[in-house]
Formats: sequence, structure tokens, C-alpha cells
Amino acid sequence: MKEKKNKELIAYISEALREHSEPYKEGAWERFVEKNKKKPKVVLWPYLSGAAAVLILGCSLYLLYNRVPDARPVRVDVSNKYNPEKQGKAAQDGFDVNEQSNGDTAEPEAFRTSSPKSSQTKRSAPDISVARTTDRSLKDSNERYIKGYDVSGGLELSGVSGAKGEPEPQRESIQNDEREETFPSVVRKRSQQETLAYSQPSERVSPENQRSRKNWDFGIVFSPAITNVERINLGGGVSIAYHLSEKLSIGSGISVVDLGLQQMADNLPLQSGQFAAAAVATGDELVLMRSAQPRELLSVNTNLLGLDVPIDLKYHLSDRFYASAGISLFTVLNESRVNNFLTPDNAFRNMDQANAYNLSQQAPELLRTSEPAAVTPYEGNSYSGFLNFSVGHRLPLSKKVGLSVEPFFKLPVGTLSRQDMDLRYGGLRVITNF
Amino acid sequence: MGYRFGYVRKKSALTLDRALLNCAQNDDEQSKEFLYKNYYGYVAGVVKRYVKNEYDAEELVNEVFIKAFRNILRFNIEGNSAVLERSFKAWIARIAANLCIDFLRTKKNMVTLEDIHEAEVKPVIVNVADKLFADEILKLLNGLPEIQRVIFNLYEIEGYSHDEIGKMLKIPDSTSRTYLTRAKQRLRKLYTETINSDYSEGSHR
Repeated sequence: MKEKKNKELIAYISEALREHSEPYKEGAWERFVEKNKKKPKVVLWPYLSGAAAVLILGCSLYLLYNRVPDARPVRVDVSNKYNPEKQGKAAQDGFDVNEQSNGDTAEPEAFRTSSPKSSQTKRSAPDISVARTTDRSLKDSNERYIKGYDVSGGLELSGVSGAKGEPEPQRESIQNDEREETFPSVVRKRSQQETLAYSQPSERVSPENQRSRKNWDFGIVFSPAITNVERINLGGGVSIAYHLSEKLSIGSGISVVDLGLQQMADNLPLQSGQFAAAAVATGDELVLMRSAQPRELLSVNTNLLGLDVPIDLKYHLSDRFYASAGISLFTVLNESRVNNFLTPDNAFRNMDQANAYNLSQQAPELLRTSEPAAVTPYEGNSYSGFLNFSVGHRLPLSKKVGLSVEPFFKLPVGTLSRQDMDLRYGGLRVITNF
Repeated sequence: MGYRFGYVRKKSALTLDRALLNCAQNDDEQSKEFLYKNYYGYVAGVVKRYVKNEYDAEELVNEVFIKAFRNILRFNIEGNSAVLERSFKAWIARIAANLCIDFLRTKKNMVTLEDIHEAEVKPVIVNVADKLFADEILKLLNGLPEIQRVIFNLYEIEGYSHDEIGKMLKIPDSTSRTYLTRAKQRLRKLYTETINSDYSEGSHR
């Protein structure tokens, strides 16, 4: 219990201080804001993990489906490392080198397919059939190709590769006759393709040349999308893509997106619309009157106008189909928000006009009202992004122009995903490629 | 499709409940500003009862608001405007008091035990002769040792019980009672001395 005696001064002090308020110091708020100014907290790990996943996926698929034997000429050089004394001879005749050294190489089939003279040896018997079936002109072209390579670079590389050495078990396995018996069909198939390829020097296209043909793609994007609001959201912009390889390309661009979103009050914090709900359920006026706040927030609608800058990695499953994944930076340019309220209306109304009783009775009635919200939390604060996933089908319209139809789905990450709205959305992207 | 490039936001006048709601829901900066500017003086008044140093007091005021904004979801936004105002003031004053106590504890000022003999504590009744302004009262309070000032504030102004004060300050509630008695007596003594000195100064003139 509080002490009651000698309260005169103490009571005065207590009362005076209880309601005491210091004057506001000018600039206090500004100093407060300045001091507590948080650096925009960009959560990088979702982006980095997303990018890493996309990169790993892309590289894996690329390596899996693009095993181009580009290193074929190098294999010829590898043969030299085990026979350094033959190098001089190799300069004169690359086939002899292959012939004598294929037992030491890790991948003798490469030599066999590329060296017609290897058919002279007993060990490379399968190549004999290949060599016999090929045209003489093809053989000549192969000779020219391999000879040319040997003279230009083979001797230089032989020392380097020889230093590394080759694992002995591989050599032994290659010398195994049983294994050699399995080669012919494969070797024949490959050698035919390869000799055909090499037989037309003018058509020999290196991967670099292929890339340089058409490395860049430009496009105009139109993307209707669907959110949790029953309306079509439209967006559009431009896109650009760079072909890293035949199968893989990286794309970017810029799009303006208009999104309409809705969040129900149940999912909003600190919204207790139970009074109105109870009033509807029970028809009890008292419940309505108990409501301290006359209006209950039902839902919040927001319209976002944003700028979306994606970075996607696209894998071409075939000439026409592709799948893409990536991230996009999203900035909200403009936001308008509308709060939808359920307002109890206690106005008098006629209950039974049909019978001309005109009984006026106060009955609970709930009205839906909407008003613009004072706050727009996304505008100016949102600089986060989405994870993008899509698959697409490309329809060539002409040699240069193509139309891509691409269903997509966007998953918010970072700052946006923690907001009160559900920003997941998807739609159909139509891209006109040039 | 209505693009809203030219949309101009209409800011409705903020009230306490709306500001609290906006803060809780959207971490709204305007609402924070509203709360800060409207309750800065009150929080500063609470803090200055505990902390003498002007700079420390201002820092603590800011800390109070930071903590309040962080924990605004815990505050129960209920009641009409008058009730809400009172409950919000009580809530924020509680935050302020706790922060001040933590601050003083870190400064090691709270352990200072004043060596007052019981004989010095004379239960006398002192009436307030003239109107005392807040500054003068704060000066009187500042004349108390930290521990006594804190207990006096907590008990007489914030309304905590000795049991609660004991738990907050980690002291027995009997100690709290003793310090409160001493604080009151010291305040009376200080007040009487102030009056006497003013009187003597006036008579010399």
C-alpha cells in the first residue's frame, strides 16, 4: 500500500511529473531517421542460390548434350608424347605416328577414325573396313587435315601433354582385343560422319563460327498475367538474348508490369473482423454495437505498376522448345491501394412494405465500402525481385522473325515476399523475336 | 487498364489508432513520424526523470521509440481515442522506464548506496508554498541518489508496487520501501532548503 502520510509535496510532485511533457526539439525526428537509417537490406542469398542453381543446371545440361569431339586433333598430338622419337617422322607423315603409337594412346579410336593408314596395322583392323568403304577423295582430305594439324601444332603440344602422362590401365584396356571387337560398328558410324564432315572443308564450321552466326536475339514482349484478382494484368517491354551455345542462351530485358493484387483481412496482421462476422452470423445488434471500430477491414486491393528487369538462362530442348529460369529485379513505380470495409449500418428501414405495414425497425445491415488507403508500402521501398520460371515454344515466322509463346510463373523473393500481399503470379509471354 | 502515373496520394489526417495500425501493418514511415513527434515530449519527460545527462536522455528517447516501433504488434490497439491514448502512454512509459533502468545499471550508478542514518530521516510535513514548475521538480529529483530517484519514479509516478520494483531492480522489496522513504524525506529536505535559500536571498535584497 502506498504511504499516505506526508503526501503534500510528494503528491504535488507526482501529479506534476505524471503529466509532464518536454517540448519537442526541432529536428529530433530528422536526427532519429538519419541515425536509424537502415541501408536497404538486400537479401542476396535467394538471388545467389537461384543464379547458382540455374548456372549449374545450365552447365550440366550443356555438358550432357553437347559432347562435341572438338579435341580430336589434339588426340593426334597426344600420340606423339609417347613416341617423342617419332615426332620427326610425324611431321612427315602423321599416319605413321598414329599407326605406331595407337597402342599407347588413351583413345585410339580417334586415331583410327582419323587415320586411314592405320588400317595397315593388325591392331586397327576395324579401321580397315572403314578405310576401304570410304572414298579416296575423302581419305585424301583426311590426310590433308591431319597432316596440316600435325605440322602446325602437334609437335608443340606433344611435349606438354607428354609431361602429364597417361594412366596405364587405359592403355591396357585399349590393347584388349575383346574391346577392339566392339569398336567396328561405332567407329564406322562415327568415322563416316566425321569423314563426311572433314571432306568438305568449306563447310567445316567450328563452334565459334556457329556462335558468331547469330549470337544476339532481340524481341518485343507482351505478357498478360493472372494474379489472385479476377482481372487480366498486362505488361510489356523488350528483351535481349545472347546465345552462349547452340543449346544455351542468357537473356535479359526490361518490362513494365501492371499488377492487381488482393489480400483478405484474415491474412493481414491485427485485423479482427470478428465483430462484423459475428453480427452477420447472429444478427445480434449488440455485437455490432460492441465493435469499438465501426468499420471492419475486409480486404486490401493494390495496384502496382512496376519495372521488371529479368536475367534468365534459357536451355533449348530442341529447335522449337526451350525452358528458362532466372531472377528478375523488380521496382515499384507506382502503387495505389484501396481498403475494403464492412460497415454496420443501423439506419431504419422498412421490413415489410408489401403488406403495407411499414414497420420501421432498426436492423443490422452491413455495407461494403471502399476507400483509398493512405499508405502504399511498396512504392519507393521495393527493389526486390522474383524467381522466374518458364517454358516456351518458338514458332519461326520467317528467316529472321520468330514468335515465342512462353507460359511463365514468378515467385517473389527478398523484400517483396515478406509483404502482406501474395505477389506470386503467372501468365503467358508472347515474344516477337528479331 | 488504368495506369496510375499521375496518381497523387491523398494523405488523410492521422490519428493515434490509424498511426498504430499503419505502423503495425505496413511499418509506415509517416505513422512513425506522427507517433514520434506527438509522443516525443512525453517520452522525454519520462526519461529525464531517470537520467540527468541531456545527451544520454536524448539517446534513450530514440531507443524507446526504436523499441516501441519494433514491438508495436504487441501493443493492443483497443478502445476509444482517450483510452487508447492513456494505454499507449502507459505502454511507452513502461518501455522508457525499463530502458532507463537498464542504462543506469550499465552505468553502475544504481549500486551506489547512500549512507543515510535513520536519524536524519525526519518525518515532517512540507506543504508546497508556491507553484513548482517541472524544471524545479526535476532539479529536486536530480538531487536524489540514482537508486532513490528510480524507486521514487517507479513507485510514485509510474505506479509500480514495491514487489515489482524489487524484481525490476533485483533488490528486496523491503529495500525498495526504505529507499522510497529516504527519497521522500530527501526531497522534502531539498525542497525546504531551496525555499529557505530563496527566502534568504530575497531578504538580503
